[in-house]
Amino acid sequence: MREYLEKNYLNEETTIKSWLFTVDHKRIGLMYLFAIMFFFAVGGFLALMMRLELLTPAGGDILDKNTYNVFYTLHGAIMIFMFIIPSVPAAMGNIIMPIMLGTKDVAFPRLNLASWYVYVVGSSIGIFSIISGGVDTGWTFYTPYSSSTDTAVISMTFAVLVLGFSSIFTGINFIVTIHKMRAPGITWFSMPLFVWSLYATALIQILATPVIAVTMLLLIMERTFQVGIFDPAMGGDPVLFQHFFWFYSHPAVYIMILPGMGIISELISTFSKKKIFGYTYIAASTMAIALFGFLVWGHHMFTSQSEFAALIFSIITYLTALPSGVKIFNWLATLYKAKISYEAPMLYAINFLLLFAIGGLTGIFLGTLSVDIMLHDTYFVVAHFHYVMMGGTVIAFLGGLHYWWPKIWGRMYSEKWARISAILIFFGFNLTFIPQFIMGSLGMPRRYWQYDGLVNTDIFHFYHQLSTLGSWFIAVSFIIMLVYLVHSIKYGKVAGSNPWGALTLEWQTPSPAPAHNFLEEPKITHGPYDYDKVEVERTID
Amino acid sequence: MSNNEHHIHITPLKTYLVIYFTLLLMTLITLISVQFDFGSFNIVIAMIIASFKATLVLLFFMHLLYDNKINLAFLVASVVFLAVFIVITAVDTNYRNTLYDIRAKVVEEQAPAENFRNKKSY
Amino acid sequence: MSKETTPYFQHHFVDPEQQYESSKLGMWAFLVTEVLTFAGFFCAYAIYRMWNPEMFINAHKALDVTMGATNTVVLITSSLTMALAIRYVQVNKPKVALVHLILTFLFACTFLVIKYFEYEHKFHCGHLPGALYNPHVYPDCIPIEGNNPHVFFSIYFMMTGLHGIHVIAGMVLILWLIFRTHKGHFTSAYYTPVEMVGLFWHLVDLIWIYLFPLLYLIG
Repeated sequence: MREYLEKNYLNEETTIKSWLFTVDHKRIGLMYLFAIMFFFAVGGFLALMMRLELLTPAGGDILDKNTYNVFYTLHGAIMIFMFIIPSVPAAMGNIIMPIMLGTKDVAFPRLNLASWYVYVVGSSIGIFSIISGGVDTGWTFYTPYSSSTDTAVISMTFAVLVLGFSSIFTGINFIVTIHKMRAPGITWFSMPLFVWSLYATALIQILATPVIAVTMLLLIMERTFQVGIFDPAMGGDPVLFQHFFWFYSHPAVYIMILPGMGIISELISTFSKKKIFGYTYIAASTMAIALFGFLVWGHHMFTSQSEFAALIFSIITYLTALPSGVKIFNWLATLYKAKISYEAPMLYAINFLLLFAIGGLTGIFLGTLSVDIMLHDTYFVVAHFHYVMMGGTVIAFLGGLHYWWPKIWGRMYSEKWARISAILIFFGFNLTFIPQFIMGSLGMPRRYWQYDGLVNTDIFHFYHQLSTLGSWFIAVSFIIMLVYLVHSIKYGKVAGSNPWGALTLEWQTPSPAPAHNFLEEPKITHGPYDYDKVEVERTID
Repeated sequence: MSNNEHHIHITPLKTYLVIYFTLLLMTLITLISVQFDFGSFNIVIAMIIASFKATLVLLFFMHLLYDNKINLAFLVASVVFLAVFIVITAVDTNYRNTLYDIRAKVVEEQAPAENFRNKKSY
Repeated sequence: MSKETTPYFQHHFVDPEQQYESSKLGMWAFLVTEVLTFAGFFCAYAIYRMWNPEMFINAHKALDVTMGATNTVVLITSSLTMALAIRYVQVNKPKVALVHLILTFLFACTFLVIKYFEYEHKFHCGHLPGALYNPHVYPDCIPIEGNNPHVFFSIYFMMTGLHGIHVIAGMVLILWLIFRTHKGHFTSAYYTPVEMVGLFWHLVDLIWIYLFPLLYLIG
C-alpha cells in the first residue's frame, strides 16, 4: 500500500521551461505556494521589526517614524493582497480542488497559468513601490492622505489593481470548474465542503474584486488628474473612498476566511472519522456568509458615515454571526463522542476553533455601534482581525498544508516536530495578541510608533513586552516548520496514497499525483464523508 | 457535424431585425421624452427605456432566452450587487446629519484654484 | 460525433459540448466582473448627481446630443451585425459571417471617430476632468454654472474613456476573428471564439445604452 509513485507530476518533466510553461494545476498551485510563502516571510519580517520597535515606549529604537509607517503599510498590503487572498484558493485550492472533483485539470489551464504570471507582475510592481520608498498610508489607502502624501502610492495601488486581476482569473476558473467539470457521480451536494467554500469564494472574487480595481484606478486618477471624486480639496468626498474600498475589502475578508473554513470541515471529519454533522447546513452557511459579506462593509466606517447608515450596517453585521455560528456548532457536533486522532493537522483544526471563536466573539464588540466608537483604531481592532485572519485563515492554511503535504510531495513530515510547532504557534499567538486586546480596551491606539507620555504608558509597556515576546515564539515555530517541511521533501517517510484514511477523492490517487491526476478514471462509490459506511485503511501507522 | 447542433437554438433572421428596429425606436422615444419636463421622472423614464433595451439585447442578441439559465443567474447577480453597491452607499451619502442635528461645515463649496496642484511622486 | 472532428478540442474536457458550455459560463463570469467594474463609476455618478443636481443639468448641456445619439445608433447597428455574424457561422456560412464581422469593425471605427470629434470639442472648450478643467469663453462653448463642474467632466471622461478602451479591445478581438474566419477556422461545428467576442461586444453596447441617457439626456 505504501508506495511512492515514481512517475508523477513533479518529475515527469524537470526542465525549468516545463515549470514556467506548465498548464498543470498542481504545478501552478505549487508555484503559487512558493510565491506566497516568500511574501509571508517578508510580511512576517516586517511584523517582527515593528514588534521589536514597540518593545520600549520611546520611538526610534530601531526604526525611525517614517520607516515605521512604511512598515505597517507594507505589512498589511503584502499580507493581505500577496499572501492571504491567494493563499488558500490559488495555492491549496488549485492543487487539490480538481482532484477532489475527479477531473484532469481546471476548466481553463492557460488562464490559470496567466493568473500566476499576473500575480508575479503585480507583486513585482509592489516590490518596485517598496524600493522607491514604500507607502505610508496604511494598507487601506484612505484619502485624503493617500491623495496628498509624497510616497509611492501610485505604484502600490497599481500593484493592488493588477493583483486583483490575478484573483479574478482564479475565481472565473474555479466557478467554471465546479459548475461544469465535476466527475460523473459528484453532485452539488456530494462535493467536499472544501469545494463548496472555494465556490463561494470564487463568487465573491468575481463580484467584489472589480470594484477594488476601479477604486484603485480612481485613486490613481485622483493623484494624477485630481478628478475630485475622493479628494475633499477638489470637491470630492473621502468617505466615498471608504465605501468603495470596503465594498471590496469587506467581502475580501470572506475571500480569506471561507476557504479556511472549508479546510477545517475536511480536517474535522477526517480526523474524527465521522460523517460531518449537518453537511447541507454547512454548505448553505458558506453561501450565506458570502452573501452577507456584501452587505456589511459599512461596519468599518462607523465613525465616518451617517448614523442612519451605521445603524443599518450594525444590524446586518449581527446577522453575519448566524451562519458562522452554524458552522462552529456543526463542527463541534461532529467532534462529539468521536474517536479523534490528535495529529498535526487536527491540532491546527482545534487551534482554529479556539482562535476563530475568540476572533468572532470580539467582533460582536466592534459590531456594536457605541462600543466601536471607543474601540475604533485601537489595538483591540488589531487583535480582533489578527485572531480572524491569522488565527483563522493562516492556521487553517497551515492545517491544510500539513494535511495535503503527503499528497503534494508523497512524503511525510516529522509528526513530532509538527506537533511541537503547532502547539508553539498556539501559545505564541495568544501571547502576542491577548495583550493587544487588553491594551486596546485601555485605549492604546493602533499604528503608533511610540507610546511615551500617555496616561497608561506603564501598563502599555508591560503588555507590549508580552506581545513582542509572543511574536518571537511565533517566529521560532515558523522556522521549525520550515526546517522539517523542507527536510521531509527529500528525506521524509513515503506516505502512500492515503495516509489519513480519508474518503475524499484526492486520496484515491497515488501520491504524488500523476500528471493527469488519476491513473484510471476515478469511480465514485461513496460520498466524501461516509465514514459510517466505508472503512479505509491508512497507509501510514 | 457538431453534437452541439441538436440543442443550439439558431435565432431566425427576422427576430434579429425586429429586435434591431425596436431598439432604434426605443432610442427615438428616449430622445423625444427628454423634450418634456417631468421633473425627476425624466431619469426614471430614461432608465426604464434603457433597461428595456438592455433586456432585449441580453435575451436575443446574447441568447440568454435560450441559454443555460445559469448564465442568466450570473448576470442577474451582477446587476443585484451593482444595485446593492449604489443603494447602500446612497443611504449614507443622502442621510448624513439625519439623526442628530450636528452639521459638518462644508469644507470647500467650490474647490479653490490653488488646489489644482501638480504632484510629482509616483 | 467523435472528438476528432474539431481540431480545437482540449483533452482535459470530456467532450466538445462540455468545452463549449465551460467557455460560455467563463465568459459570463467575466462579463459579471465587467458590470461590477462599471458599477464603481455608476456609483460615483449617482452620488455626485444626487449632491449636485443643478450642476449636472448645466454641465450636460455642454455635451453634443446629436453625436451621442448617432453613436447609439452606430453601436446598436454594430451589435446587430455581430449577432448576425454569429448566426451565419452557426448556419455554416463563414463567408457571409466574415462580411458581417468586417461591418462590425467598421461601425466600431465610426463610433471612435465620432467620439474623437466629441472629445476634440471638449478639449477646445477646456471642459476637462479635474485639475485640467479650464473653461474658455469661446462663442461655441457654453459657460457652466454650479458647484465643481470639473467633477462632471471627470466622470464623463472616465466613463466614456473606459468604455472607449473596451471598444478598442473589442476591435482588436474582432480583427482577430476576421483573421481566423478568413483562414476558415470557424464552422458550425466550432465557433466558440466568435460567440464569446460577440458577448463581449454586446456588453460594450449594453453599457453605452445606459451611458447615453445618463450623460447626454439629463433632465
